[in-house]
Amino acid sequence: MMRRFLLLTSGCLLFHLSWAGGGWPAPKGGGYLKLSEYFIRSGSYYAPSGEIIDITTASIYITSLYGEYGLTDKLTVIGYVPFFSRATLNEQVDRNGMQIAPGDAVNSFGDTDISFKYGLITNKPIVMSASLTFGFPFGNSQGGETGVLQTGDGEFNTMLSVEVSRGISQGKGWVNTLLAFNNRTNNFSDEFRWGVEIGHKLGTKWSAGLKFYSVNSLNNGSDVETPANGIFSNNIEYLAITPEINYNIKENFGLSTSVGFAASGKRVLASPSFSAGVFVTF
Amino acid sequence: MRQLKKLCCSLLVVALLPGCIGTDVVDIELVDEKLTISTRLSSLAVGDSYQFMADYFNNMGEEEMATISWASDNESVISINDDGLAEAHTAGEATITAKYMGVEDMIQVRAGDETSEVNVRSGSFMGANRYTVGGDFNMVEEGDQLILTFEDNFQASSGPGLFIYLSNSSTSITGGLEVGPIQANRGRQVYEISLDQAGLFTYDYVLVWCKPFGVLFGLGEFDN
Repeated sequence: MMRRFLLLTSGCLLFHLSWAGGGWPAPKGGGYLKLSEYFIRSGSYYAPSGEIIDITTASIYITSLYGEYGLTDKLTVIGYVPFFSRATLNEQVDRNGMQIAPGDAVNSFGDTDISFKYGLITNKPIVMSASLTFGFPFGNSQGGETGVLQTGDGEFNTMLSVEVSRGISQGKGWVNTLLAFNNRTNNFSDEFRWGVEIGHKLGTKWSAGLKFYSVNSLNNGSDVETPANGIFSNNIEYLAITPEINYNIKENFGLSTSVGFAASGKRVLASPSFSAGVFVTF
Repeated sequence: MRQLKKLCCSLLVVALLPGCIGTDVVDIELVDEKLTISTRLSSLAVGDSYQFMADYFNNMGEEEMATISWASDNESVISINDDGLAEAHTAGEATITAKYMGVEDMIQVRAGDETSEVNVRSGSFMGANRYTVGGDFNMVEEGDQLILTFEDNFQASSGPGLFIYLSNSSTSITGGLEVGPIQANRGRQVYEISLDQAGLFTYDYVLVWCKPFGVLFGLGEFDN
């Protein structure tokens, strides 16, 4: 059963986090900051055919800062900075303990995103915002002794997204929806993305959410020409289902945890991903 | 605020704990036993004799010594003795069969005016797991080497640590021979293999294999 679940790579993580505000831009001078640790470890992989196959166990660990800051009541700047990313590949040995292939690891800064979100409709029950995200390839696309580990995909991308949100249950709950087009460079395929999130407060300190997030390749790039050599780079597709629980320790800060699963995928690790973080609102 | 700092520090400490490189114990994937006639003829001149040889590979893909039994389905055209020495008597065709422990290989040989050895094999690539791999290849014996050539139309998806293997499995490198890292993702390329490592007919497949992750990108089966 676990094999039905997935990996979320660094790019995927970003777009989960970028949902923090939904269609609501941050108020001027206000914002949100989150320090997170994300990891996935898997010996299974969604091949391009969609089938799950065994691979050498690979891991990705990302320690990141995510922040939103309201430049005006309508314009929010958002940053995702994975300041420590680590990717590992297990050593392979046979039943007699003879080494078949050595393990490997790489530590580096990860691919970083800067977004600008503009509130198109802000004072109605249903709000809408548009975001422009720039993805900077600050990670390592050919890391480790083997040169095959990645903390980034090696391409600059620009994503345009529209989010529509609505408060429900007298403001105790919320529904967010997202549509996005991700333009990728260096012969990587462009992507169409969609997402739905529903969440609700549970008493005064707890809240819970359930997110569905889908990445779909337009398959207009070239596998043969992409410069990065990762098996997780181009034509990634998945449908992720991510339950999340938040606990407000104080009014302005708390803890957040989530687990990401996949109903389907292509070119992604096939195991659950885990994330835990500390957030502050101001 | 002190509480928040403590939480952040705790998170960072916890984050550093699990990131060690682990160890995978790899089970060898068994392959079918295989017997292959390693010296092949398309025709044998009447009156000539020819020494056939065959190699046996166990289900680990490893070559093992084996006592091969030989047979011809038409002894009046081509006869063959227990050591694999064949002789052509009259014009016609015969099927030569090598057998060992329930596995066998056979070839069709014509007896005629000349003796002609098969010294080139060819095939075409196809992708596996929906990776892009395509194009034609051939392998010839030259001197003490095998020359494996990918033609101009060869192409393969970019991948981490792609290697070329010769194998007797279409899905596994068990018992196979690592030829070397892929030279380019597209276009003509040539790989040299010592005859000490493999004969022209030792392996049936050429694999494009992602070595560090153990993923098959593509394969090509020899047509002959």
